[in-house]
Amino acid sequence: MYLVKYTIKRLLMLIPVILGVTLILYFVLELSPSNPALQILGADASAEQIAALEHEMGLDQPIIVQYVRYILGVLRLDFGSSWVSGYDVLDTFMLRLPDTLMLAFTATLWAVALGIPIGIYAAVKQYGVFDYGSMVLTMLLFSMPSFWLAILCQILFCLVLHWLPATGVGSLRHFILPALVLGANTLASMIRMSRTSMLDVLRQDYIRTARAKGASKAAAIVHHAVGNSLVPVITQIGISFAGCIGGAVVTESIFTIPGLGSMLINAVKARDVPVVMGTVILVAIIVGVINLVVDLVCAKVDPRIDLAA
Amino acid sequence: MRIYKPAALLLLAALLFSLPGCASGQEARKGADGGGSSVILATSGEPYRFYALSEEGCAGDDNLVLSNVYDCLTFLEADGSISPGLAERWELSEDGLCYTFHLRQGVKFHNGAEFTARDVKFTFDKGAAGPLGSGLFVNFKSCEIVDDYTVNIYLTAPYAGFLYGVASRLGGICSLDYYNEVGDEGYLEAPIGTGPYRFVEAVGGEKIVLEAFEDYWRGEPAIDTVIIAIVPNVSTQMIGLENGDYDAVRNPPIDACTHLEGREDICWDYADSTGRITLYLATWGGRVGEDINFRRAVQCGINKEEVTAGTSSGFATILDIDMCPMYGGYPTEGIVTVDYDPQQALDYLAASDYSGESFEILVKSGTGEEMAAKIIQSQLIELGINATVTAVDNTTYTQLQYSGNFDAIIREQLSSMVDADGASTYFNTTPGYAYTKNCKYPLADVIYPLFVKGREVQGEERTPYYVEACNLITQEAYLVPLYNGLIAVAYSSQLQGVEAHCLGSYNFYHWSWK
Amino acid sequence: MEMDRSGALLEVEGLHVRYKTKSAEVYALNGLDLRVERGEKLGLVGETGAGKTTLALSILRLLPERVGEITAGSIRYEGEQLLEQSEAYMLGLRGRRISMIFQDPMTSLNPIKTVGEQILEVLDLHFPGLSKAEKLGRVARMLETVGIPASRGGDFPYQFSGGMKQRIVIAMALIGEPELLLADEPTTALDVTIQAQILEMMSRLREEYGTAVILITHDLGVVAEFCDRVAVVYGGRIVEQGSVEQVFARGMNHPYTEGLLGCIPELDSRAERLTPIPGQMADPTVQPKGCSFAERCGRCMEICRTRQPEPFESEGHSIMCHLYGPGEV
Repeated sequence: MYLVKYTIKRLLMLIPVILGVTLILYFVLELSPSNPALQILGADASAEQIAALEHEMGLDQPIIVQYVRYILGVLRLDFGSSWVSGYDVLDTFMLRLPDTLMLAFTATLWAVALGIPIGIYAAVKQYGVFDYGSMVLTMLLFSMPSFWLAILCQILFCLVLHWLPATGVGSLRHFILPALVLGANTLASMIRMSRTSMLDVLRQDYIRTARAKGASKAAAIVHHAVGNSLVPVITQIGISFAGCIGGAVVTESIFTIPGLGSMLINAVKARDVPVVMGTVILVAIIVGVINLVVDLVCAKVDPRIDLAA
Repeated sequence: MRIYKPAALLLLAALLFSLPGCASGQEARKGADGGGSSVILATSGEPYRFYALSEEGCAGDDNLVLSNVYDCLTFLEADGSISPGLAERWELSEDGLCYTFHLRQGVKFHNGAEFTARDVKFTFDKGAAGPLGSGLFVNFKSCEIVDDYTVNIYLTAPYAGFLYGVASRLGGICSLDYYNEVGDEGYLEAPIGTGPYRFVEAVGGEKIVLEAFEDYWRGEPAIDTVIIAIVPNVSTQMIGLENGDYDAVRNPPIDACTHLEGREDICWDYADSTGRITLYLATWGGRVGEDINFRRAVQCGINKEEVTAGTSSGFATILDIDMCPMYGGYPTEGIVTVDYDPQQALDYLAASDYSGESFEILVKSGTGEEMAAKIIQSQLIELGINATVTAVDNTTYTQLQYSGNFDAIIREQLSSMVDADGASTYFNTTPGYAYTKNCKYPLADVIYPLFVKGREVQGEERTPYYVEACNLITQEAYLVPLYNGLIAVAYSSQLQGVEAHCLGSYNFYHWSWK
Repeated sequence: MEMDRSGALLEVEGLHVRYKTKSAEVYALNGLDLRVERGEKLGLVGETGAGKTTLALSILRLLPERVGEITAGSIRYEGEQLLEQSEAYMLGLRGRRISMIFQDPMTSLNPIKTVGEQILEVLDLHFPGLSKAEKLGRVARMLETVGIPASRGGDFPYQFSGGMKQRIVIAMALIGEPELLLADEPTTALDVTIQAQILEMMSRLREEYGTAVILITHDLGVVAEFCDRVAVVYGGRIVEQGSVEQVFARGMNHPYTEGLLGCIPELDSRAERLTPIPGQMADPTVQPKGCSFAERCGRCMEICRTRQPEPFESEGHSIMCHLYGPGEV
């Protein structure tokens, strides 16, 4: 019951966050020089036609009025239509969401499944060959530009080896390469975070207690160390996953995945205010939910965490 | 925990190997096994509006779909010439004010309705009233139905390039009855035309699907389904083509195409586009371009050979005036040209008042013009001109362009109006005209009337006016024409009938698998 | 495996332990000899850094890897040479035949597992044949024995006070019914009233289970209260061992022990200041040549600096000092 109340409270807390973000965003977008009506109709159009479209789009109102109208629309779940394509913003978002979630999920999944064990092992065998190797790997992963890695993968796995499709989202196989590329960064974070956390935990007294009880080193690690090292790692997972939702622009572009990252970037470039606002709001909600889930899981793992605090 | 790592690797390997090998799908698309044949074209610019007559008009990228879903009275061929379309033939009145079109009979719309003169009148009346009307149906006054298959279109004043407007995206004939049924909204969602392909669906950001129209008046198209895939990244387009994910790529950069030399499975073609790449100098707002000596220095200080070598590997044609050779009314003789002469440029520069101010060249980022700007920048710097390149995104570029906020700007003018009149845009003295509201050339009052006279007459009579106008512009060094744009297409060698079209659209009707 | 039940429970002979750090080598134990009988309560006293914890960890072979190393000596437990045994043998030993409890109860327990689970772990490790119900029963009984309601077995460590946590630690240590308990300063981190409770409970349990206890402490009062015998550690060696009466009687003592005893404030004494032992402990990175207490000893002789003293024994009370024994000046 308490969990339900806490969840609702957290979701309600998203509202002021979103309002604040959208307010700033709206004003910044309005301030940047561009004339949407002129952009849509082209310069051949007459001044009256441009003025008529501006009026229809509500652009002749003061900024604050436009903002309030927009927010009121959002409350009715009306996010407006794109100024560029005319498609409904919410529909487009919902259309792109499954692919984006799939990409984020697969990218995070493999990175976590691989990264945590590597980090743990590196911490257990600190100063050993594996530890140094994993540090080098982490550095490499962080330094590689994702577009470089993406194109390299495309050339190797598609053109040379013919194992995988280069683009699109037709099947599970289409997500293998994008997940690989997008997850590279997450893998590095996971290794580093779980290693650091594990090193910290291995120095704790309760590990020594476990050994004194007759637990083997491996048993002490598995039963005592790993669980305690998870909280910062889980938080990192949440951060990485959320980052993939709206931030996978390069990967989406190169692998031609119609995702939310490219939707947002293209809208910003085109000053397509309804799409920018709508995407930001909806992505913010998703990220808020992810953070909530992360906090709930952490509270489950570590009983010392008091959600009421 | 130590078992996780090898288990994960095993899983990955299993995924990679256990699934069936990557068939590119191209075999299936050829339709050999009795299924329908299809083709996938990759393009980066996404078409959004599949109906030209709404209040919001439509953009250049939309032409890719529009030119296949609709037919115009006249067709624009790949080389820029006009050929009969839904009109079998036409006549122009003596005074140049009335076009009489004789329409084809037995043409059907996608919903089975018959094409008649009423549809033509509807299209022209509505189109002329919309945002694109003044630019494409220039001087349109009215459309009169003579009989079911004959129309008269009246102009307020003669306009030599009118047929290009008729062939443009605005001229795609729409069905009056269907419009009465569904209105603009409905037409946008489910467009109906007389063209070789039917619109099936558009998935935003992903693809557009077109299906062959069996009752097309020229006969059923060979390719049953056309899928236009939206692929924003150029390298992905080429990799996809090489991998067999795509059958054709729309307008790849020329150097990407030249890398394909020697490959058996991929061909490429290019054609001059209707666009010209020109450097315009700003002669207003207290800028360096106000000084004619400075302008002349720039004019002869640019090595156009070097520019085309760098931007199109030398494939592009160098221009001497701000028009493409394929334009109707292009003056073929009497043109004064300015050759590359760095010494002369230095002399002009010395004679000018230039004292090291920065000379900013505005250009759209990520385009061939940006490359041209950079090459020009280095050439001008050698002459002692402090040139810089300002490459901005689309929206900012438009804003700065219209407000006249630049020292110089390089534009690519891909023009639906394949006519010499296109060069008049920046000298148009009509009050309130968007392009010249903030950008006024001093001698525009002298130059523009020449353009006006040039379009009011037909054929050979136009030439002297354009000669005079262009020579005046050259003399004043208001602009430096650089080169003719190029349209390319890269495609699987199994396809035939693919050709590069000057306006960048494709007639899928001509395509077929070998 | 036949265990020799006739001799001492634990015999440590000539144990040398070294810590290797990046900067230097630290000689923690320099030939330590110790003997513990069955059921005996031995107090192990000395200053911080004397090597008391090192001894306990060495017995269990839980010295920090790569850093700590037993370089010489032998440890016999119930007749078996521990230093020659496999790790599997040691796993069976720890928590079952020898248990250890540590100084700081606040950090000794895994914060994310319930206390019941942590006590149960000992049974899972050492009594696999027992049924789950039987194990849970034992855990509950153990909790009650240490004065914690069995119903609290599902609570987490953070929900208990310091004193209660230490009781849980003791419960974990004794549920395997070991013959020897190594208690490393179990009450140092607790306040005095709790300390008394814990010691009283440990006494009671020792009675019940017959466990021998090595109580590591720096508090002589605790030793006097709780232990039968006491061993004094200095510079990595046992400098004096004997029964509590023998050592505390102040008749015959190692100079270091004298100094320690002299530090205890007496209620009826009129002294205004305590007398500390001058100087500091010898540098542990240097192996002592002579007696390790030589520099600080008020009665240091020439021979003390050059030659290690042999232990002098009389009726079970042994002192390692040149002042006592055959080589007496």
